[in-house]
Amino acid sequence: MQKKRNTSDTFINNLKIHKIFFLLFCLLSLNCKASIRTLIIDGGQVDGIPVAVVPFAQIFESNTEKAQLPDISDIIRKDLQTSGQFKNFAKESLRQHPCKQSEVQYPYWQNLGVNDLVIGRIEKTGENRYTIYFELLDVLKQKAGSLNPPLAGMKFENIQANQFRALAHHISDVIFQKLIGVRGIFSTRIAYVSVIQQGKTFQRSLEVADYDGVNPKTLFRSNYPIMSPTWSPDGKKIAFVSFEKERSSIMIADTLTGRVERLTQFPGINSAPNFSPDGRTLAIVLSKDGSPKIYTIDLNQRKISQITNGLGIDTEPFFAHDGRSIVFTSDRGGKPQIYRVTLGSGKIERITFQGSYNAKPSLTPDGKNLVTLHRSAEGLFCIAVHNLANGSAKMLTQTGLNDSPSLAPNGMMVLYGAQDAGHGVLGAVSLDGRLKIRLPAREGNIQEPAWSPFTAKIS
Amino acid sequence: MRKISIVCLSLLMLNLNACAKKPKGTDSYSNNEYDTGEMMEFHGSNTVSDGESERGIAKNTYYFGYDTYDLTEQDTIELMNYAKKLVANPNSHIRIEGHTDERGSREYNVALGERRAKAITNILLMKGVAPKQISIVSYGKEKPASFGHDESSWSLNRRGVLANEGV
Repeated sequence: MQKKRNTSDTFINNLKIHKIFFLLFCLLSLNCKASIRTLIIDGGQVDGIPVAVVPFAQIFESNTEKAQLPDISDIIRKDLQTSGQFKNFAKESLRQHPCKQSEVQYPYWQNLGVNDLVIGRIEKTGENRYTIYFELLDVLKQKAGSLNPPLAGMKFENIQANQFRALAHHISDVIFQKLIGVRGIFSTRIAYVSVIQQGKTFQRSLEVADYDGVNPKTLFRSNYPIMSPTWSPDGKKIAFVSFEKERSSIMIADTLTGRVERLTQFPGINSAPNFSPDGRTLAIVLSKDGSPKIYTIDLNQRKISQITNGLGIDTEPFFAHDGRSIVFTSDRGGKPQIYRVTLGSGKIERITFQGSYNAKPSLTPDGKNLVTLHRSAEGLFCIAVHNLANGSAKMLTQTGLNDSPSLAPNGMMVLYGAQDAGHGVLGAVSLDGRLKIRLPAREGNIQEPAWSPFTAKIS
Repeated sequence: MRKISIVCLSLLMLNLNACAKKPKGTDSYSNNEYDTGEMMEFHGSNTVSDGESERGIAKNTYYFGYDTYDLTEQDTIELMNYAKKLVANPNSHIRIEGHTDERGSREYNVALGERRAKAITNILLMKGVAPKQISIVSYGKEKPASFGHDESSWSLNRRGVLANEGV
């Protein structure tokens, strides 16, 4: 039975739950009846820009209060580590704790091999009201005698305890943008499908969490399969496929209110939804007229247009970022490959030429690279990235039994479905190959990740 | 000459009896013409339990090879026979589910599973079953019957399933 859940408590951050979260996670790994489902993305050690994140100074009394607040520097350190672009320094290895530039002794950091330093402090301005300062300092280029201004310095006022985590992610975004020159994904979210076996039935749910798996919330529950979650460009809706009453239909969930409505339920397949960049159109797959074909549906007028024709299977539409074409999976040539249809002219061309099977396409924001589920020469299903200009392809994973790649909105990382010790888990890999994240095996299965678009920043 | 002819004719009759294929589950020797002791040799019993009389379905699961949606000749014959029951009961309704093994993309597998369900459906339609008696759903790889990661599990998951939906 479908159960609607009130998702208005978006930033529930009961600090006590947060503190025993890790203990719960360990216990739940042993407990088959997990009622709280959380997934953790743990970054690996990767060589990159050496950045040290110093614990932020807490400039107020009350040790109990200090202990209860989330550790902003821990969150930033983990964010940077997860991106695979930085060399991490363990908190315990840092012997100095400056909280403003005037306190920094540059030779100490230069000896450690640090290129950039993140420091900050937290002041209490009222009951559950804090002001947070942070600075990003260039250590590498700092010469004795002169003082370079910080690369970045910001002050955030009137922050409440339950906003500390989101603020830490925002600071990570600022650091990432400054040092890498690309927008960070630390304030984004992921949607995914969770499947837990309970006796003979499978409890399935569509969940949304922070990009790192923290704060999971359930949007939709069912004993029937749930598939293909996909975000609207404004992050407010998720379209997905439901099989209530043994037939497929496309549903749309409101991520703020938790309200779910049915969009289509034609005979046959109703599947593979994907929003257009302006959010007004949904590309979908219907088989009501024969074999599965790509259609678009105008979300205001609910008018349907057929986009592809023919006898083969066309599925998994993905809008290009200019909204003018759709890439999709088709076996019109015999085996699944990726094709592009130009809307308006209807012109179709094949765009993958490596491998005998390519499916589940997504384009990087610059449109230059295409990520697919790809069958290797050895017959293993892995994630690959194709250069559309020269047709070359590079495999990003090697172990097989992968599916459901989903690109981060900055085009730098891919989340995908994997198998580990008999469980469905998520993996993450960066397109430049620097980062591969292994996820712990746990009870139940997590599958079909969908990375959200960039969300509004905290001002 | 006549003795030989009689022997030949007898042999021929015995041959014809031995070669005749009888449909499963029916009593093929109720014809009094053959009510002799010799018939005991040819009285077969079902070696395959198909529960046809219990469920009213010839078999409810049909299996497929990797990346295919062809049915074997035997399965086709069974389905054609089952179609007769549906035609005889125009108010009856079945649901045909298509499934795949776990390899590959989820959505492409939904489409493959539908091909399998439609292959079964087409046989029934060809035999005169009304389209409104059949509903089709493909679950792709979402509802495996077997959870291993090798061919012994995969082969059990590449299937079409017929489910009675009553009247």
